[in-house]
Amino acid sequence: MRLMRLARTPKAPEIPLATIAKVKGAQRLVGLDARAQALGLTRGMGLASARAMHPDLLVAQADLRAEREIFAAVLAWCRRFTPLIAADGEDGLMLDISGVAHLFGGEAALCAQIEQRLAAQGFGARVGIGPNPFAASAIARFSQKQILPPEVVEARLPKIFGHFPLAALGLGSQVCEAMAQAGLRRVEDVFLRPRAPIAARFGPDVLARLDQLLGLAKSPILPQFSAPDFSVERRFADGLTQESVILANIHILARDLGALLERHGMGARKLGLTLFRVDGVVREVQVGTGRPLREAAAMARLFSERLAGLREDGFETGYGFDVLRLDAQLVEPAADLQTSALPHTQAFSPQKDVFQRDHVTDLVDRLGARLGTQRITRLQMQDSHIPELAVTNMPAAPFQAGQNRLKPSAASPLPERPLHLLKLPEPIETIAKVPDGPPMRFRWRRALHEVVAIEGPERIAPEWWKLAPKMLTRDYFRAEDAAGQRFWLFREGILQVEHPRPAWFIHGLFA
Amino acid sequence: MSLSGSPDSMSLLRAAIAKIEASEGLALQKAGRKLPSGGGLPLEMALDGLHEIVPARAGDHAAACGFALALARVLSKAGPAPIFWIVEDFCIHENGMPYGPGLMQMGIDLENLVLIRTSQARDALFAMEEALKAGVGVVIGQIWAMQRFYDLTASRRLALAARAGGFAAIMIYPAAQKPTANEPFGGMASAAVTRVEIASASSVPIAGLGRLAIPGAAQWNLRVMKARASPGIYGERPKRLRFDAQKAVFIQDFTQNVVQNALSVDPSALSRHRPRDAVDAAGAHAKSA
Repeated sequence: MRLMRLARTPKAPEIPLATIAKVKGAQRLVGLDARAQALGLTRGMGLASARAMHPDLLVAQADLRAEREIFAAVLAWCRRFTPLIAADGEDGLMLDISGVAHLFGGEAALCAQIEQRLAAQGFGARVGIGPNPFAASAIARFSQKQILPPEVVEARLPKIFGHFPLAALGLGSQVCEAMAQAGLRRVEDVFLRPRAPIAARFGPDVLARLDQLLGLAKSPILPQFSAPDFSVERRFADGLTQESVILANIHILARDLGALLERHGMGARKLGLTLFRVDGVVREVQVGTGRPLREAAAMARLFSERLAGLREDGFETGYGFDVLRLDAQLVEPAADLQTSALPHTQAFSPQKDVFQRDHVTDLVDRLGARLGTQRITRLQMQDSHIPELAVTNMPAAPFQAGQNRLKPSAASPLPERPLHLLKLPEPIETIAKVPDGPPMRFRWRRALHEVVAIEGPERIAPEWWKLAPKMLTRDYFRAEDAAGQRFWLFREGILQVEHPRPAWFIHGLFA
Repeated sequence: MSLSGSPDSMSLLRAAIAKIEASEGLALQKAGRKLPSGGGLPLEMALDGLHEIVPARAGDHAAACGFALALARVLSKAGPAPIFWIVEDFCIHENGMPYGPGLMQMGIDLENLVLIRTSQARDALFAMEEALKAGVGVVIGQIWAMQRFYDLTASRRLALAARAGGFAAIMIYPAAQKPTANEPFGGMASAAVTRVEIASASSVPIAGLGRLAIPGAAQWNLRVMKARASPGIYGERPKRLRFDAQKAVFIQDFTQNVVQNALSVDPSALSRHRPRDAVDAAGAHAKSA
């Protein structure tokens, strides 16, 4: 498929249009519309000579970034036809339509539909269908015909492509020019000649491309988006604008996908919903799940949360969505579950990790879809005695067996720890009787606290066996003020050994 | 149009009002399930109601959180139900992050705690409501912009969600925005069944080697600001409580006067404890009391 943008003002529809960019210090034409091409202008031509030929040529500065963005949008839009799509050069798209065309009424109808729909959006496109990617690309660019019928045998390909220009091989302009100087202009000029001298003179690339074009060598498509394992979709004659209708259809899709997954004994861990808007905008919404999921209601609820979140960020239905597609992007084998019976026996089995209970996982998924999964965490103890490293935030998923070895106990021999740990220790001003004694009073956040009870020091030395950033020895104290509030204070550095005047910090608050 | 002309509509209206009262209004009196033993608390607390905890002074935030966690444990005693702690980010910036080792010493199994941090108060309320409706565990919420987002409607939604899910909701006020104590029902109207004010109290002291004592087990002063289930209790003197993390019950301290200074405890009662075993001693003291 070849794309050409028709970016013009409605006032001057007849004037040829070209975009220019600075190439090697000269203004050259980089994009031409159909009229400009009909006038004999070509890409790469200097602006001065183009103006000399056609003084009324309308010229606009090329906006490469915008072009790339539009190209990416068109590429995403084409996913409505097939999941396997690749970019073909700077201005082409390659769609793998194996086994897809009949859904759109055959190859000819598919061609027509793509061209019409792109034309309606203001793009001029040429579609070519061939037995391999190179053939399709060559047909789209250099042939009047669109479709190479599937019954054409490979033996006839050399004859068909023989009269195509050498540019159909997709070689660089330098190679093409060199070959033209040698009198090689068409594909058959290369094909009918001995291979060794051509490879010696123009490089092995030429022959490799030729083999691919003629179907003698395989040429894979590297798709932009990986194809999901399971996918269901619904198409509508009119765009859906009402959210309730969209959600109802998501539910139907989820039911279809659930049935598909059940048949294969799988459950989805990552789901993708692609919404194709009538005006070409494509929105993709992804949600992850905490367990292999196949219940329609649970899947639909995840998306309804997510869409509710998106709506607050300005998600617009606009002219409506005409294609909804639900993919299971990551699947895992799931045992057959009986979901409805006796939910409460499962809820209170005491030995089980909370995150292995389905309705807790479902809740976490639902909240994660709305708030972001990184915001839902559980605390996990680490093997470190540095207070701020002793515990980490882990994603809310089941612990691996034996991961959290430490169990709570009130009579634990561990020294007492605060309930809240400040994000960073905050400096405090202290008054002590002796330079290395415990503080008698201290000032934190402008409030003065009189110490009435204190315990310490509990010395925590840096982990010298690790290549950690340099840290001083800390002496921790538990202090209680006259109001009964309890603080976790520390002095950083040993007096006159590590630091001439160690500073005091507050690190945590007790209940 | 006069009402007397249609006696049927009057009786219909009366029936409708009776129906509403049966399901909504008066039901608060018999608020859901109660804690079987009271959990050592001086007031009755519904297992499926909305409770509010107000720190008494600016520095009592951590005490309020500790009490809330203890309360969550007491209220989910029937089974090891998870605790959902939902915090707005700004609260964490201000008061620090819940700390695993400290939580474990309160008897919280870290496997049972889900921490949800939200960037906005609205999200926190949403998450609270969802978690309550799912009915999977006790939900503790902390939002910073309380006065802007937590109103009668928001609290009503939480209360109804708690009733539907069958687990308690606990809302912790930020110390800076606590409802004013001058007004009879605490200023901020809400649908909570209970509102208590928590102040940190001097801990059970342990005699130290030096001039100063060693801080012992944490204690709180609890003042009831609102209790729909036990209305007579309102306005009583503050109660002093501590928490037995092993048995998951509150222990009321009837012996100590609330205004008593921690240092004026009879040292002879404590002399048998060696100061080195500070934590053990505190545990033993808690058991004996």
